[in-house]
Amino acid sequence: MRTGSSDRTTGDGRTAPDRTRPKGKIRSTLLPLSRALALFLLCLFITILNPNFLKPTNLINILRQATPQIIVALGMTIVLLTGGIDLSVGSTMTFASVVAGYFLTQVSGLPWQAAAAAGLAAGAAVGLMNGLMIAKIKLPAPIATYGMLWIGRGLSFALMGTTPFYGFADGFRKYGRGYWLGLPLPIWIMLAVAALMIFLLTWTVFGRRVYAVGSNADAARASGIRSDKVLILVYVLSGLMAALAGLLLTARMNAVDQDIGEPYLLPALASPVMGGTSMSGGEGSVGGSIIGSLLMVVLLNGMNLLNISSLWQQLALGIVMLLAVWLDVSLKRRAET
Amino acid sequence: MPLKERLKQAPPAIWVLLLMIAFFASREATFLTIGNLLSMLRQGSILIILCMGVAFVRIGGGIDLSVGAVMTLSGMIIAWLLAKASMPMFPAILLALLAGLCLGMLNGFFVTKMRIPSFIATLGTQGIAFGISLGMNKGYVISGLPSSFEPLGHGLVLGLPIPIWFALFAILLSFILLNLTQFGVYVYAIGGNEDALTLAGKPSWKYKAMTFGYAGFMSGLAAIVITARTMAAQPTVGSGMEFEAFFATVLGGVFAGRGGIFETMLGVLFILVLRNGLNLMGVPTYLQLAIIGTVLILGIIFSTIIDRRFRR
Repeated sequence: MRTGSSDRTTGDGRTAPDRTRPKGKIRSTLLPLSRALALFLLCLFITILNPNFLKPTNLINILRQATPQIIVALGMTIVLLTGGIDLSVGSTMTFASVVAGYFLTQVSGLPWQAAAAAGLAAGAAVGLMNGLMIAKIKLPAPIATYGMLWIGRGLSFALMGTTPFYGFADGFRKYGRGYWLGLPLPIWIMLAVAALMIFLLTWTVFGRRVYAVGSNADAARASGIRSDKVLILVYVLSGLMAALAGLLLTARMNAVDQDIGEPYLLPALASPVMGGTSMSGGEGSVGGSIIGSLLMVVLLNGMNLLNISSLWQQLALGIVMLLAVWLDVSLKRRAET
Repeated sequence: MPLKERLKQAPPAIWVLLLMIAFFASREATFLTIGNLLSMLRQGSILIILCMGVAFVRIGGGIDLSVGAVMTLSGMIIAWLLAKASMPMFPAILLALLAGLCLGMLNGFFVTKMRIPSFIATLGTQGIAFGISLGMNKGYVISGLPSSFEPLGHGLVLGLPIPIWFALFAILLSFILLNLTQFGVYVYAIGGNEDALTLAGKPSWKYKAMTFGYAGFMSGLAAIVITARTMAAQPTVGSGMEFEAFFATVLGGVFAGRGGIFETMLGVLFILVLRNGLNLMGVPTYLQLAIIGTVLILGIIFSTIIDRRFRR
């Protein structure tokens, strides 16, 4: 999947000199492994400090904690693949959860499926707005999505005020805390989403177009790809995934508040980049983003096990994200020269 | 450039601003009074100071999303030094300014030396600064500041509140730096064509890092005002300020290599008038967020479209 774009073309679409090819090939085979290795070493390190880490309940707990983050990060991955960015995912998570919570608790006689659908639709609508602003009005993606972040936040406030919605229908809550074949339901949903994403990116025309638009927009246009359609769809997908992550989190917590999604923005950006998705587009994979997410969640879980106050977590996330992006940028520059 | 020429080139935001002023003036009799103007400026002094720093970064071609968090951390530091370490006022103020400057320079280092895109680098710094602000006092507010600190937030000099004097100082300093010094010339040059400046043999990365440093310094200055006004430091006080500062500059028409102090003030006034008018009309805070966000994004879409038509 990655070899098509990562070996030969650089971030801005130029062709790198031939002599760098072997180096590039080694890099592209080693890097995913090195990330898995980093994950393994981190786990080993935490296990030595606190053996409780390896208990199955803790491992399942980690995976369940990672679920919303992985889903948001997969949405972000596909946006990054086109060379864009979606800074609104955290606020979209909140907004979609608030919409679903509103229909679940404030409107009587509505089945929970309809409320969940309304939440997903809200996420897709936010994504559609982002996509239209970026593809049609040609606003820079950071500006458009950062504006959307605040609109989503304002709308959530307007719909809910300051008192959280809580106490949802059992059918809805099952998707947060139910089990199937011994594994929590959210994990199954996450696996299904990941499989769908792999299928979408690897086996469909749309997937090829996403990579094409991201690695060389001019060439994509020259070969007849309507990049605005691809872009709009990509942002809708990102909004939809953010909404899904928000709903799973809401179902698990059995309550929605104003801060439910906001902490997910930094991890959602950092996970794909740590997993090898390039900020300049055209390069990245679903598996990498999942490993990247796991790295961050294991780090946070380790901090919990080692009794480091959760107040410092934002600091750790900021540093981890900066290091990840720096590694990406400097490796890319080394490949270019 | 004479004012008339500037007005001709001014972004469409100015017409929306006049429209808004007319609207609020017709709805609320108290809107167009000196008292309201003063209270608007006093409340807005923090935003004005932050925007001056952000304007330098914008003109230099970057984005700074960390100013709110840097202001928060500087405020926490100043309150900690005054209340917990009982340090005298002036060293504490200097240290807070220094902390702001250092965090800004850290941004500059990330962007120029580590080559991280500026909005990601500053988002990372935002996480770091908020993280330290939350962690350093376990998430609690620091209060119990000495009363000698209070005049900085509430005192009057020559009939004007001291926060407004701080804002005027920031405006004047920024104007001088941007228009009358070599540094200002380089800032515009970086935004216009960074490679050309490098080829001309100038260390353009140094000047670029300095724009971020200046934004950090201004965040430190804003931290003094906000801490003195509330006489306490909250670890989340600056959350959202970076958004207002960023959009004020975008709305005013400050982009890489274009715009200046006048355009920045235009954008700041846009936000201040909108917020003040909504307050006077009694719109609840949570609705204000949605309205301000929507108006800002519509304003930006509107001015981008007009700008593009105009250029064609």
